[in-house]
Amino acid sequence: MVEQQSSEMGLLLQNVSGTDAAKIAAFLRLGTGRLKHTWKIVSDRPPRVLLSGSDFFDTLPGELEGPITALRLVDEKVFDAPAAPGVLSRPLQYDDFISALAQAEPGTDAKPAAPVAGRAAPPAALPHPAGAPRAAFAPPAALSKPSPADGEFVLSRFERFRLRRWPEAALLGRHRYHVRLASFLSTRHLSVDELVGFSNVNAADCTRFLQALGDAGLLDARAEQPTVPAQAAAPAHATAARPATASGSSLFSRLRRRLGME
Amino acid sequence: MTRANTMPEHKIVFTGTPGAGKTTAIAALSDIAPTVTEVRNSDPTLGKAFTTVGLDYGQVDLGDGQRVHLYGTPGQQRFEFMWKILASRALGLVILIDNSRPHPLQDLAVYLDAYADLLPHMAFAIGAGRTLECPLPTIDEYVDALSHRGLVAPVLPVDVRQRDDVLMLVDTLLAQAEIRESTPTT
Repeated sequence: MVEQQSSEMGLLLQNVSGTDAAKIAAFLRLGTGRLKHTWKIVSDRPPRVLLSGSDFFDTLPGELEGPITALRLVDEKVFDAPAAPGVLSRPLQYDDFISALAQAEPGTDAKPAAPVAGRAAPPAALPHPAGAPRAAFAPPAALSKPSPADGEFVLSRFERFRLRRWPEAALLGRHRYHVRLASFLSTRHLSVDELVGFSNVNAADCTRFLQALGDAGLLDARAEQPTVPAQAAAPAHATAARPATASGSSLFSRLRRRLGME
Repeated sequence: MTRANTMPEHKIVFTGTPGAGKTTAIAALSDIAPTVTEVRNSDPTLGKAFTTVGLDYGQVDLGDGQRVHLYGTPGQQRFEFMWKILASRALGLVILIDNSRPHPLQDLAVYLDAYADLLPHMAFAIGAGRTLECPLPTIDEYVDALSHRGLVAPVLPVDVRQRDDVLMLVDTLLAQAEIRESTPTT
């Protein structure tokens, strides 16, 4: 039994440093309109959410066998680790923390967070356009509030995508390449192959990131047939080269190199 | 005229509230000691001894006569006339907002208004500083403010004393600028 009797939700901290615990307490004191319930750090009753600062969750038979949601607080994510569900990274950010609690509140349709961090499932094969194409859209209106995509988002190599809203930090995975990918997508519609070509990030990572954005309802999709840049049409596992406009000698590449960004 | 004067030049502009760290951000990137035009601050609300009244200048030399100029605008709104002049034809614009000020979203609105006709056509990013000490407004609220104006652009928490944070902002500008410069293939 982990549900609370009142609208107060319990948060149990396990193996969390004093600094992180103080920060979490401060975040809870600040409050926010994004949470429907009052959240409190508890240690005397089963919690709604268990937040662990280690790789393991300590359980108590009959008392704490499995909280409704388990979160892990880990050091900043490594290079290509996608934003895994249920994983918060240090230094803990207010937005990430509140979002995680909001998803754990009763009545939220979000899937329960995974109890252990892990890589996202590998992307499904990109479907052939023989499937019903999605309607073409006008230039996307900016999205005021994130909403889930209509139905399951299916990434297609034969569509172009553009951000409707800048993603939350958790989705960006706190990694520069995700921020860079999102920046590319904030400017105009791009196909998967174009994104690979511009970013120099491998196709699998680009696909995984696009899928995550699509699942979060942040992408505007345009059904059209892009001309695939020859260099970007490489197999999905290969690292695509940049299109001709962004050749190694371009201003952008040179500036990135000069500043130590590549 | 020297060769360098005939070569194309590019600039990145840092704007934003007084005390948000424009001078520090430029110093983090510049090859030269930034030229600063600071005077003793007479506005006690800014909480610092010196403030920029002209513009800050730094540069990144790419070799072959090409360099990227870094400009920092004076933060005070009375210098608004300079903001757009500097940002015109810039490679990108970074708007730095100090989250510890009384009304950061109103501060952001001042800059979004000032650059309203440029922003839809240029690379820009928002950097929110001191978000650890002052977590409200949240990054999500900044994103909302952009969305209400039909804008989608990077919004990142930054500590401009950390060079990597400044580089991250610049990286978002370059990505946007690169896409804008390219031609769609259909």
